[in-house]
Amino acid sequence: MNLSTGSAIAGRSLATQTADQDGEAVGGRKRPAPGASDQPWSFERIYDEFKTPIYNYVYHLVGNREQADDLTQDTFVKAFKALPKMDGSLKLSAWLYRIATNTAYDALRRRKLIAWMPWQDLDHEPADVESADPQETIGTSELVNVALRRMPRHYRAALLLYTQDGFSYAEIAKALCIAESGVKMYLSRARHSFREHYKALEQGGGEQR
Amino acid sequence: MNCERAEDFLSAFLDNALDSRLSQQVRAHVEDCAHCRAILDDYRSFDHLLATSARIEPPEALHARIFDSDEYRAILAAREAGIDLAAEADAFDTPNLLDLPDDLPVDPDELLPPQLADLPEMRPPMGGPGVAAEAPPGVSLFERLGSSVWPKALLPVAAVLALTFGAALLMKQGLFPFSAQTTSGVTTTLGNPGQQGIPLAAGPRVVYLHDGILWSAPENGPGIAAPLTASGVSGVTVGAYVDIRTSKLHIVRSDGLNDHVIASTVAGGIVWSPDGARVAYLAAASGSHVVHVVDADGTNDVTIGATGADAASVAWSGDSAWIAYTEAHAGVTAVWSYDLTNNVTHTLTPRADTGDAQATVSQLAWLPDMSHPSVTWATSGANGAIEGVYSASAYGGSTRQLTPAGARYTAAAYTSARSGQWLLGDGNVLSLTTSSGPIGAVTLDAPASHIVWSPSGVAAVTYGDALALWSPSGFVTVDTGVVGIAPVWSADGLSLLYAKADGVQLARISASSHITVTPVLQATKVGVVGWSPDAHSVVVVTAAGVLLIAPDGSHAKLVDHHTPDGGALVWSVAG
Repeated sequence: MNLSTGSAIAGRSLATQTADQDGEAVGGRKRPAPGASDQPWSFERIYDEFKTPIYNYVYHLVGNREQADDLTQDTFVKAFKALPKMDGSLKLSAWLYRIATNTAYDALRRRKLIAWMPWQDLDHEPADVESADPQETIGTSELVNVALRRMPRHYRAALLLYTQDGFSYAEIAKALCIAESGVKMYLSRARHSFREHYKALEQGGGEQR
Repeated sequence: MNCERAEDFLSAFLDNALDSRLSQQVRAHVEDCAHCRAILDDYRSFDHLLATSARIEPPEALHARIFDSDEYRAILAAREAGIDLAAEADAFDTPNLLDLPDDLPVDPDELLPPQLADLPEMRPPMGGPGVAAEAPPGVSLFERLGSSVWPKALLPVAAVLALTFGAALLMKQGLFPFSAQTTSGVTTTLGNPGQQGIPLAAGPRVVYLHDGILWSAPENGPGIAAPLTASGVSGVTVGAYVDIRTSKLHIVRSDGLNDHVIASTVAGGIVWSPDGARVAYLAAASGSHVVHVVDADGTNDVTIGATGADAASVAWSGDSAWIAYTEAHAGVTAVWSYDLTNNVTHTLTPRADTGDAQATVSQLAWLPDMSHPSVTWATSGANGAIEGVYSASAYGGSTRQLTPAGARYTAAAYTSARSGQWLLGDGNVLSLTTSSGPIGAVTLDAPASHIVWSPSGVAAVTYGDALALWSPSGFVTVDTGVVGIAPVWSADGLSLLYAKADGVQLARISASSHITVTPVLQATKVGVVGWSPDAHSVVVVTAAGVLLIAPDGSHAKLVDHHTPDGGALVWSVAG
């Protein structure tokens, strides 16, 4: 596996740049909370800061870019409506992710919508049917996306929040509306599940031979 | 601490989320255990991989969609005016993730489907024996539609073995609500339990094989179904069937008039041309088979191909100008094309290499682009495994293998939608291949058992007890608890009927590729389901007989008490 991909991370939020990987408490990573500070906020600033992480998060939850467009829009509009009354105990980021999570799942549920799981798109590859190495045809980031898609959604959400968005256990609990004690179990199962799916994909399981 | 216990704690250990005593126990175990150490290393690597994986940017237009929207202006205006919009925002009162189903949402508001108990009391139909009289007690419909009934249906007393309905008259009458392309090559065979038939003509009658003869039932039954004879039926459509007592091909109208008997001894393989003007069939000739093409009015019966060679699998091109067929000569199979305009045959090599002379050809079809007429097919080796799919120009020349060399498949299904695509099953892996190479794959929990393409190119795939759809949008598992019979698409390709243990369900795809699932009928035994071509009615065979049902499940009507012998249900159209 190539761990050097994506070293320049587009859209990594201000909040995570100061994440302390060796935090002293349980999952104890610290971040400034833009919305919770005294700093004056604006809708535009909130959008600019969070559009990419929220969009990626929602995209991984629903597995479809068109739907991610719609749900990201819904998330920000809901947030802007509710922002003046925001729960003071929540950080802006955890609060936004909670809206995003609920918006994605609520939309799926209410509209009786079943999200399509995009199959591995090999369109960009030359049609050389003799080359069959999944590593060559797919690439690491594609393997990550496919492995994520194959995970149960709620574990996927927890894993994304922890690894991609730098959330602490407490923040994940708030964003997903689950007990803090449940986060440990979610992450354990999430890592187990991701590892299984990723390894299967690496060995060519499920992809073009 | 053993591995099993340690594995449960590795994730929390990595996050420093264990108390110190437990943490020390895990640390001690990991130091000794290469297996758990490898998992921990993987977790660390995967965390890093996820943290550093490339992010996708939202589209630029999303900014305008939000900030130029009336909704946003209203938010700003409310803020100016000090109005609280938060009450409208439902961000906080949504349920816990754990309560949400991962796949199939259930809408409690949806209407309950009709139940069999609501149907009129069963009466024996006039003009034929009733179901009650002939159904042995305790025998399920499945058994009756399955093995127990077929030997009986195939006895010489069965007048009709195969029936195909053509579209010629219907299209002339403008009654076809869908394009000729969607009906191309449809062969509805009554008498073949495995056949995935598609009804051809919308109308007030359902035609089916019962007790070895064809019946025509108007929708205002039950009890007035009549055998398909000159005096019994007023609907008009064109059909072809083989009378197995004489092995003669008949071309008839559904009212029984104009029954043309074709002189050749027919061995099957009846396929209508997409324009409904001709029928191709296989005739028996001195121990082998030869392809014939006859006009829909029963004239112009011509022989195509060499006598002495054994022909099989005929396929019409979409423009009805060509046929392709296979012919085995001295044990070697070749693919042939025949240009009906110029009366010329061309031979095509079944395999890109000549490695296996025993290879058999199946699923012969035409690529949709007729500016360069090309044929595609699958070949199977001696053990039955599909060894590859191929394409070649109808004028001959080199044959291209569309699948990787050495790959083997257990299932293959071709659609002419979107320039022609093959969906291939290899154990639990499904992959999609076009004439330009492979374009996608997905892993299932179980091998695919049915692959049914819709006219517009969405595949319904059953695997294990699950039903999934495959489309350009991706792959989605729609339902579980699905039972054996193949799902059936409506002619518009937007609705799919399938059977579960407790009834018939309808999956509908919206214009934006969203799927809704609704129950159509609650019934414990469902044998065959079919669509009217206008997708306004569904016909279902249950233990009670033949039912007409509105696709939204709002009403059901018993058409007749007959239990069709099996195979597909065919609609005729009013004359």
